[in-house]
Amino acid sequence: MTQASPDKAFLQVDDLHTHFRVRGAGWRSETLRAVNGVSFSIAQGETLGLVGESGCGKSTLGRTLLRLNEPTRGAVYFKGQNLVGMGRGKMRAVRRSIQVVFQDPYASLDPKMTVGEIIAEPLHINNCYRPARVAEMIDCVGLQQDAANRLPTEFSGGQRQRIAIARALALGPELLILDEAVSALDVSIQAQVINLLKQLQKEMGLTYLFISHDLSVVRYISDKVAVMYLGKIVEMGAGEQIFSAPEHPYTQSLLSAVPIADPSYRKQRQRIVLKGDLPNPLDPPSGCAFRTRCFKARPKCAEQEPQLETRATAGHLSADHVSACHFAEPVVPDFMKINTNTQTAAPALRSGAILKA
Amino acid sequence: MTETTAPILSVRNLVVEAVNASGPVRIVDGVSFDVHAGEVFGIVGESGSGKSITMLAVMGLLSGRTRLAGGEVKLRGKSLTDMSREELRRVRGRNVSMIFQDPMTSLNPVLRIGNQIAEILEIHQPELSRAAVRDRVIELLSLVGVPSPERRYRQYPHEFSGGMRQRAMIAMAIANNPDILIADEPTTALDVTIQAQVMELLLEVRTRNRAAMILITHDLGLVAETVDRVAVMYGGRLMEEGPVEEIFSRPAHPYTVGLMASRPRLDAAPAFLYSIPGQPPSLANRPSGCVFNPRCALQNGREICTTKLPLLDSVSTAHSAACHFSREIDGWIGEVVTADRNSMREAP
Amino acid sequence: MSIATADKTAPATHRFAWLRSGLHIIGQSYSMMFAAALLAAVLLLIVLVPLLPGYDPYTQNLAVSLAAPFENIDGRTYILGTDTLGRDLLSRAALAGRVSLLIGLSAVIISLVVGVFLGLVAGFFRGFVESVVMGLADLQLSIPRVLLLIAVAAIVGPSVVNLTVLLGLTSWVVYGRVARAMALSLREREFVLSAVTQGASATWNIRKHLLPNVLPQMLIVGSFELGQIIVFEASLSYLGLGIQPPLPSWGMMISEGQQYLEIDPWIALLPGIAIFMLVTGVQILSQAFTSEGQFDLASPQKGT
Repeated sequence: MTQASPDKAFLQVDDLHTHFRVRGAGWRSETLRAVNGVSFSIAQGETLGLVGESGCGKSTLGRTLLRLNEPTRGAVYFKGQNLVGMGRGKMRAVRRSIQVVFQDPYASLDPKMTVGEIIAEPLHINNCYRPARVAEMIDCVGLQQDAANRLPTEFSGGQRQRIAIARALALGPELLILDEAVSALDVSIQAQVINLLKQLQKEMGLTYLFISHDLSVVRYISDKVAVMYLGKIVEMGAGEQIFSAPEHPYTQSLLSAVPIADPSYRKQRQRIVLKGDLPNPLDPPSGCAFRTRCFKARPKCAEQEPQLETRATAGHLSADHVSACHFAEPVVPDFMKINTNTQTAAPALRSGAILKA
Repeated sequence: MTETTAPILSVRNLVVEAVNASGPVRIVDGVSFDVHAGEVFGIVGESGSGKSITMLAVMGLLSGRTRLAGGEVKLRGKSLTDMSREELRRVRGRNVSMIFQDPMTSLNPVLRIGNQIAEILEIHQPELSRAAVRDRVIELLSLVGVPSPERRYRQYPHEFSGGMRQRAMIAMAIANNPDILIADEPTTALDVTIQAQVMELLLEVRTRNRAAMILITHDLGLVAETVDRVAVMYGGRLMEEGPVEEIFSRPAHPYTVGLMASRPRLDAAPAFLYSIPGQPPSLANRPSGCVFNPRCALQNGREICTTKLPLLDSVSTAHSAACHFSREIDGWIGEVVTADRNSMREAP
Repeated sequence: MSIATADKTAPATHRFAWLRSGLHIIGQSYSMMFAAALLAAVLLLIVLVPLLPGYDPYTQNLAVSLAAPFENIDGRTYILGTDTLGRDLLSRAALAGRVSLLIGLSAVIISLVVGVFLGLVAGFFRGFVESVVMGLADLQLSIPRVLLLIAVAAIVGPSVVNLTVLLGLTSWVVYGRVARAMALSLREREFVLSAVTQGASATWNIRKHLLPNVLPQMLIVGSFELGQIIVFEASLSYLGLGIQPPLPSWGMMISEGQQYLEIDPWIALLPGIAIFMLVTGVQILSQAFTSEGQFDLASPQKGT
């Protein structure tokens, strides 16, 4: 039966766990906690950017929301209905509202189908095929109608991603999970697809979960941002808060590691270079999972796991900025402080000057 | 910076063709540049721009369906393009060495890391004793920040993480103190925090060895932070070339401007992202005139762009661009025009 | 490096694009054309010769037994000579070809259907189903086929139908394994996943996505198997377990001819050559449809 969620959030995820059994040494099987207690919510029409490095569990989280992976425990409330444990028939109805666009535009389209067939497929599956709908979708992602009769191999990466978006939108979903959806695209094409996504969101009132490792793109597209590390969210808040006053040392080091396309920043940045690699996810460190690479680590970090909560030290910023660090402290990132030479074109572009089209 | 000294590497009018079912297709078309001692030279471009093929051609590593169809490559005044295979083999790994994007495919999975680095030393310095080779490998591994190098020496590539593998590749590349390091997307497969580690290391070993470096990348951020001079490639041709500060502060080619404006930035939250309209060119059906003209906003229907191939022309002393109208760029950037909503929906 | 992007003028005839480009490849290469000629010669033999008047494959005439090729006896030319019973070898070889090809093709179709079905189901569902199917495959491989056929032939008796069904049912493993391996990778591909998120059932995914992507590979495997099965049928017939006389098959003919190898080698040699021409032709031609990565699932066209 439908359980009412605590509040009427559009999508609310409560303490979600997705664990995998993997073969360990000998006959022992070990547990990989790919998603290890994640909670967040997204309001309708909003974009939540989910960032993290490879192996942090962000894609597994997306797949769990789509029920491509079964969660171990926890709850996912979509418009008040818990998707976890939902029966086949009901899930089928909900699936229409939650769709996905994957990263690889070359692997995500069946090479044996024409573009028209690909976009029509979700309609056929759900017995609501109308040729006009396919034409509408092709138009809405900015392709030409003659694309329908051609094979995906005839298209370049950016156009293929448009086809994948058209397929995802065919059923009229409300929530779109974008799993690295623009990461494989070239810069000039990436901008086209990002703009398309933004425009579609505005027109259709879509809600996005934007999973990406690319912080610059996430900053541009997201209203809210969550940072993941080793299966957990370590910091979450409005985009403005995360990018101008990150509290968690991991977020701070991530931001400081991103190269910025402006040579005048050179030698002015105080880069935090993290030690070492990601720890073995089968055997995560005790206490705070980040402590092995953290520049702030103290004995307390190994003993006690920090909870994701608003930090008193965080000062005046709003209550929905949460972080999981015992020593959380907002720090203004170096790139927000640097005064660039105003004579250059780079700042003109930086301030969002729009080129004459 | 560019001096009057002779360049270490000089590439002139390089042409590379791919042999297709329908005949040869030019994938690199008349590329020329110089790399001077001790500098970091960047080649930036999107996929299909020919940036990687250019460097493979320089190294004499073209294979299969691609072939050098013209041009000359000179290393310290000696022509690489005239060299025999044997001579070229001796240059590779000794005077010039390369670091590829994917360290997993560049390393042999069934050989121990230490032995793979040792091999490079043995090929080019056969006079070294086994003990000397071993010591040098361990020294190299610790130099590139691989912890406990004695133990790591005996490990296999799969026991290394992505970042560690790239460190091993760097150790291999600098083993024989080459004059030039060519790094082809060295950090593209790595996470951003690991990228920061590896780039820092790469620049450090380069400075220590006083080698020149060519960084091939699609990432303008990486270019801005590491490179001294940069060349922008598109559709197999050089669009613009110059000192990095100038390229970023006074770009003189509409493609460069479009590239910079279409990349979202960490330090700014613009309301609208410019996007270069259209799709990358089909090189089999290369547009006439300027390769960029079908996507160029500066063209404005002017005929010369479709009829005459623009050559690299100097904009200032060290900075040149291949555009008929590079003088109009400044005015173009300054203009702030309300977004044409249709420009988001590109016709394919 | 993607050299060419979309060809705007490409017609929408993609359904037979593989056939067209396959034919194009055949036209480009001498070895392909040679293979096509071999195959055409065999097919002409099989189709046309039985239509010729006066060449009955069953008529015995001991007076002309063991005639050499082109030998003219009593005003009649036996183009390929005759066998011990004086039967015309050309028409026997043609009839035998029909029998061999019929058995081979039917057996390939049976094994392909069984193998693809089991393989796809095993690869898509994994778990218990996969263990059962793969166990069956191992079991199948561990029993020598000849032994199995001897046993079955002893029980149900040798006949063309029994032989065909048996050959079909015992050759599915190779299709099963390839289909399963491909299904394992296809089920993780994004187009299958996105169909799942759109509410597609397992049957839908197997029918719409797995089968069309697996089938071309399977047909290529089948073309190799066809040769194998014809040769295998020949060896069974040679052992007396396959086709029963007086019906000829190429294997039968070889087995009859081997006693006269020293007197008249043509009897055994001719069907041998026919098998060679058919098998070589089919195998070389099937490469036309594999090359250029047409069906190469592992490497979708990709830019650098």
